[in-house]
Amino acid sequence: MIGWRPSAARFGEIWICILLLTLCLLAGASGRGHAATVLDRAAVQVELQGAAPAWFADVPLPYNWNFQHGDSDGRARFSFAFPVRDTETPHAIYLPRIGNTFEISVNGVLIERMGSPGNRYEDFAKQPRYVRIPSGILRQRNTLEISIDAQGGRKGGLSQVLVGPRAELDPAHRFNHFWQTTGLLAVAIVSFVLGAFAFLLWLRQRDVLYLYYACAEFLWMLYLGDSLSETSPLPWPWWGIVVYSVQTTGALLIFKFSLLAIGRHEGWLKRLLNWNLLLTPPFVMFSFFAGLPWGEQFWKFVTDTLSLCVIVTVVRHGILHKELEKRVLAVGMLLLAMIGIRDELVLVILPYTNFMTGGRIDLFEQFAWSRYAWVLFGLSLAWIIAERMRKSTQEIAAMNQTLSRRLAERENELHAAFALQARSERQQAMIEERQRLMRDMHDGLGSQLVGALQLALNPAVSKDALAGQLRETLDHLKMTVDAMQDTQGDIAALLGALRYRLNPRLAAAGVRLDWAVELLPEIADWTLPKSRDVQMILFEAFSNLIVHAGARHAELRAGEDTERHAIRIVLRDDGRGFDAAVQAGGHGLANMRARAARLSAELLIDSSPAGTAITLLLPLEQAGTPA
Amino acid sequence: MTPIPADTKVRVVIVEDDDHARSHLGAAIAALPGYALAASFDQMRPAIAWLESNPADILLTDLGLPDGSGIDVIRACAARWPACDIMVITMFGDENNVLSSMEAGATGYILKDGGPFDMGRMMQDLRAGGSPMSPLIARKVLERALQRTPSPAAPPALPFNVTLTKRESDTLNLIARGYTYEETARALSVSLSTIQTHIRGIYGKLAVNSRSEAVFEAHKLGLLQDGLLKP
Repeated sequence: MIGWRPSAARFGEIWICILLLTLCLLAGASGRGHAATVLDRAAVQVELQGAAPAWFADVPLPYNWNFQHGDSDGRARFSFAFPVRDTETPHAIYLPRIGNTFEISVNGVLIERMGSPGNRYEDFAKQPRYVRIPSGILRQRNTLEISIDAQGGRKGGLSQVLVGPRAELDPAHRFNHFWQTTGLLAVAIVSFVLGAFAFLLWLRQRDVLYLYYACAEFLWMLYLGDSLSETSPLPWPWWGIVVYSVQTTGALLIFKFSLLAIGRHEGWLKRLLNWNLLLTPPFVMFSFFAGLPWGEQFWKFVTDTLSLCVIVTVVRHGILHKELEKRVLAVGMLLLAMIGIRDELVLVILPYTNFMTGGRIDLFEQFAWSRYAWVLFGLSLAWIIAERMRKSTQEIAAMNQTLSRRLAERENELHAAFALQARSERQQAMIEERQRLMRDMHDGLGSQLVGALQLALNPAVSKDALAGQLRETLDHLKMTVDAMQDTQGDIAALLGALRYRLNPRLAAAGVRLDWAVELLPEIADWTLPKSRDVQMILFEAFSNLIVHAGARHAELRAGEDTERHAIRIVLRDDGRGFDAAVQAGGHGLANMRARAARLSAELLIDSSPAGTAITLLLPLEQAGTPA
Repeated sequence: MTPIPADTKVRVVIVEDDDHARSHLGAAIAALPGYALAASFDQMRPAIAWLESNPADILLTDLGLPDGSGIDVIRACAARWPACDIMVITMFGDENNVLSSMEAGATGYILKDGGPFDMGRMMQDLRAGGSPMSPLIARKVLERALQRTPSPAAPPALPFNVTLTKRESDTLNLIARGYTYEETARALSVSLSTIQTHIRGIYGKLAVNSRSEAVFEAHKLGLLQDGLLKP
């Protein structure tokens, strides 16, 4: 079917092909040999139940019991005379249709009997019969007697009989046997398999589509089973009602399935189908027991009309739409319609008109083809399932893709959000850091200004002292500003900035400062508070030096101590020593130690009246900033 | 550097909105022989307007003015009177302000800290080599020259950067570590005036740098004709 693109025109072609095929098959439907004798007229003794026997000298065959006697039971005996040229050749009798139960005698010898008369559980009319005539019985002129026992409405009767050499009759028999028996069995098995498969699908997917199909196939299997079986579980006519209901229900369910498949299972069509389904068994029962002779035909007409509506809908839908599954369904329906029409013609209409007009066409041996056409629906079901699977696979793939894409987007969003959060946290941390710094500095500044104020209010204090205090405060402020400049672990720049600020005061105090700052390695993880701490430690030390120690000469050396993995800063002076400073009542020392501790640095104070040396060992690897 | 003619006083212009500071500076200038206060303003726009038509030899300007930034005054003066030495009056001498001023065209700064200053000495310094460069500024200039970004928040490297000679970066290196001009001169075995010349040169490069940036930006914006950038 690859590359097949059905269009309305193509449909027309298919239509015509099917029609021609049907007619051809119709034409060459008999499959008879030429040497066989066709017995098409007989003497009949008919005895209807509860009536006197009637004798007819010359009755044309086929003798369709349904046509002749409707729903009445009864029996008939047919007598024939036939010549045989070569009595030594094995002969046989081929009876395309005979039933419902029968006995066959040749020249008075009973050669075949099937079923017992009056047994309503038996029906042997469903298969053509091939009866071998035992040797030794045939003469030049022979009589054939066939007794049948027919049940009303059970399609009993006798078709035209063929007598001839076995060699002639074998092919026809085999052909029919194959199609009536083997083929039917095969189709029944296929129906069962398809039905079971659909049922399993329904169990798994709970799509009512599959349930309809499964039930239809099961019912059809029952129907085919009946065609193959000669005994019925229920007596006639109950069994007839059951079979008809099964057949009709199966067909209706297939129609529901088809409409569902094309998405047209709605509206008046759906309602009518449902009503038809529900009313079939009661109506048939009613018509039978109420004795309505045309009841079954009427109902069949109703069902057929409904079927036609469904078929037209499905076919039109198939023409209009592109999905392959719908087109396959449409073709299946169309074929079914063709075959249904053929069956109708061959099994009902033509024989009836033949019967009415006394024509010579015998189609009694014909059988319904529609039973085979059901296989087509298996095909469409398979196609539908395949299409659905393909679509859902595609959908799943598309959904997977969408999902992955959304997931990736989400991941990116989350990453971005996390990054943003991390960044804002970092910024927040930096802001907090600065705020702490500011607080620290303001405290220092505040207290110094307060000190200056106190000095100003104290009349005993000289203006120089006050000026000194204020200058120190200003220096503090400048260092605050310096501290805000992020030197990022460049200790040398920090020391340089400090000297730059303190130079004026050192010069004013007359202190000579020797400066020896080497190239220092950068310390990692350096923060502003740390800069501040180093600044303040040294500022404190310098202040002591200038103010309290009274030094004249100072020296600052800074370099890398490779052994200790630290930067070593040493401030020496020749002043009076630290004790004096402590006595002067400063918290400076405690502050210095506290700051050194925060830096994880070692602070060594070597003080004596001869001078002071303050050593600060700053480790190169700083611990991370405390939260 | 234009020598001061014997019969002409150096014309100094002061732009400062703090009245006390302005009068203080004015008095210092007036007290200095050879220098004359040509004009003093407490707002940016009048100052720029005046400088349009009147020459100045030295400009002292504050940055935080009520009607704008002193940077604009510096730029206007440097453009109008290229020979004018410009000093920016700053409270802390913090690197951001100083560097911005240098880029605008200033070559010196006065610290507004109320302490005694030797105006004469300062004028001399200014004329000779520009004001003493603080260690932090030196560090900042070195950073710029080496195209290192000091912090993640700093803007990305600009197309034009300060390029320093070996001598200049040696000088800055020592200054950044806290050495005075004299100590630096001794360490490099040169004279003090050489160091001063280096510093002035660096200040000048900063200004050039910023002017070049301006040209580049203007060209990018399509404000200049193509021919201007061709060598």
